[in-house]
Amino acid sequence: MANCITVSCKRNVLSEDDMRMIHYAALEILEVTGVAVRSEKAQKMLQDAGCDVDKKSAVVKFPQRLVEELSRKNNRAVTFYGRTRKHDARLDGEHTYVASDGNGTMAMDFETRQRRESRKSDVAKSAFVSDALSGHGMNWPSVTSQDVPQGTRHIHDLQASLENTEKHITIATDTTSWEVEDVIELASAAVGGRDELRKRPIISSIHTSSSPLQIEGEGLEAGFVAANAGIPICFYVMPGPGGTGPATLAGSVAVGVAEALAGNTIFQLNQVGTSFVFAAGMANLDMRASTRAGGSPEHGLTSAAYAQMAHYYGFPALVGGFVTTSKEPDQQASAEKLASAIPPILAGADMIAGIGLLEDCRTVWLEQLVIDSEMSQMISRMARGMEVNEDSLALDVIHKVGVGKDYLGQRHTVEKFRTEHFMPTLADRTSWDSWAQRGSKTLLDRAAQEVRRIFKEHRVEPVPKELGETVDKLLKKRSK
Amino acid sequence: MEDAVTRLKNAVINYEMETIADLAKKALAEGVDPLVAIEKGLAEGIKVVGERFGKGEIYLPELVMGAEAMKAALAVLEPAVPSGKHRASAGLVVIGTVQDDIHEIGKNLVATMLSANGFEVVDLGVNVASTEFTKKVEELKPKIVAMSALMTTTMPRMAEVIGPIKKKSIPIKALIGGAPVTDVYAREIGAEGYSGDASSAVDVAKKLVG
Repeated sequence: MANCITVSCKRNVLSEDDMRMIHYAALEILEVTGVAVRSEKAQKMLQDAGCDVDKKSAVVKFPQRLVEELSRKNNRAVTFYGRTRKHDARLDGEHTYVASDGNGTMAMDFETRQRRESRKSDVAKSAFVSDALSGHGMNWPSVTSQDVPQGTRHIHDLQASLENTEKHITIATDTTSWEVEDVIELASAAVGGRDELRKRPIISSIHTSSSPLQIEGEGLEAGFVAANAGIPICFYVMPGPGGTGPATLAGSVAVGVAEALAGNTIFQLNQVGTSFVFAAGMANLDMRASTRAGGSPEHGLTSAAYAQMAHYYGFPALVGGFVTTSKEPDQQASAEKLASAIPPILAGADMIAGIGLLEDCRTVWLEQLVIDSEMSQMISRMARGMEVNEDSLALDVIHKVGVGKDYLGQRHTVEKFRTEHFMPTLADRTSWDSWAQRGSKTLLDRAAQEVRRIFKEHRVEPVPKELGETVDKLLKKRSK
Repeated sequence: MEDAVTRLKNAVINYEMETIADLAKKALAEGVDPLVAIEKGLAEGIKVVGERFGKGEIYLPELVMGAEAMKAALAVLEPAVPSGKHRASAGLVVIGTVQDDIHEIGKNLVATMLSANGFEVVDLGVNVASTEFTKKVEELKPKIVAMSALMTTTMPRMAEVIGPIKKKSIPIKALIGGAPVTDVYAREIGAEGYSGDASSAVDVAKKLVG
């Protein structure tokens, strides 16, 4: 089983009543205000299914019956397959897979220490480092290749990812139908054909709404191409409380759920049984800085609530976490990343997007990937909770050791501590003196050391040579 | 009792966006010069609102409400300004979100911030065709053309606007922004100004016209 967090100790943000109220609110939004769907193809399907379509404004009003009926079409198992089987991610609502995240445009150069535009080599390096991390379960390319010709970015991004990770790849730079076709061709080459890809889709495709309550045609129709090839759809909504959604968290979650249900209705009408994932990044607008407050405590709450809503209908959830607006891997980054990651993981979100970035998902630092992976493992320990049974109560050992002695040399200790205690890779728990003696290394120093170790020791299963040939062919075609 | 111009100023300061249009109509009926009403009333009012925001006394929603109030009154007063006359401002800015991109909020925030800081802003909206930008630039002769793009796929539209403007050597500065946009990209396509967020866009704009 792929690297994941087992959520035994669930902590919900919403009660059953809360969820039902949000569900009713979303249905009312869809029926009364509706969603603009700017695709004639989708409009036609919706009209035929009984929706009220206003051709001029593109606003579609959805009957509740239809939305509810099609939301039930997805209540089934979804697996995000890895390039190798050991990385298959089963999205069952009980485990959390932490993803790298997603589509940044800047990188902190690991060697030169310059902050610069992200390159294809950064897509490759971040995928490679992520592949080695046990606190990481699937790969959303951290950044995009900014150093390649227009119209070829999706090819380079996917190639660099496939070559450097065995984990599932979710990709968002395929926003048009022809780009999705290229992506399918590349992924097929990596697994040995289109039928193989349909059986084991090792990629998923991210398509978005434009909050509040709009779905653009080009991206939607690109999603149809992916869905028709059996590729799971991550439908990403981003109403920002106070900006593109109501200031109240519940109101923004309701808008997000309405958009997702609209998306699911359209995708199921296009192809029944499409794997549809509720995905969201719902951070409030900072009312002073005028920026998205990624990693705010509210972001943690909306991610948790949205994951619960996804599970309410039976959809897997991919939500934001480990986000920060900080510019460096500093204390603010750690605090915000934890604040936004703990609630959704404890609520059982299937996937968290994700680790490695700073500046609200803009700039990748390889060290941050390693630091966030460790945080993910800390939360993993919290999510596993505390087992209380005869064995864990350890009365026999307590009686045996008696008063005033220690438990170190007990067989019970040796058997239990490895699973019962979290062992950090980066956190330094030594005394001041021994820390100083070993060079007073900061967390960032230690993370850099770990990155170098990964580059030296980690290996990734090579891709079939067909991939390279397909890349060359597509690049030739798209560079014309 | 306050005079009509002071009432307009205070109506902006108190975010009276629902009722300010009536105050503006009343001012015109009382024979107030619309240019005076704009420059001494609305512009002074929004200046206070902008300063309060700058000091951290108020937040974005209040700033936006102040700008909305000003906009509502301008809709009444501007048509009454005699032709040939124009209100004084820090500079005219034509702003919009580029073609194939419908993301609005960042662009709206920049427009609000600029108008709260004395700029006159003509907002072309979202999904603005590149030719529409160049047409408006030639027609209105603004000091700044400001463009927003939220997607890596729509960013190149900015270059489509800047290219022809430069070719015609129109004296204008380009200010760009949006999540995927970087200062490196701005330099690459010849935009004089880049801002990472709406708040700092004002300082950049001031430098561009200064």
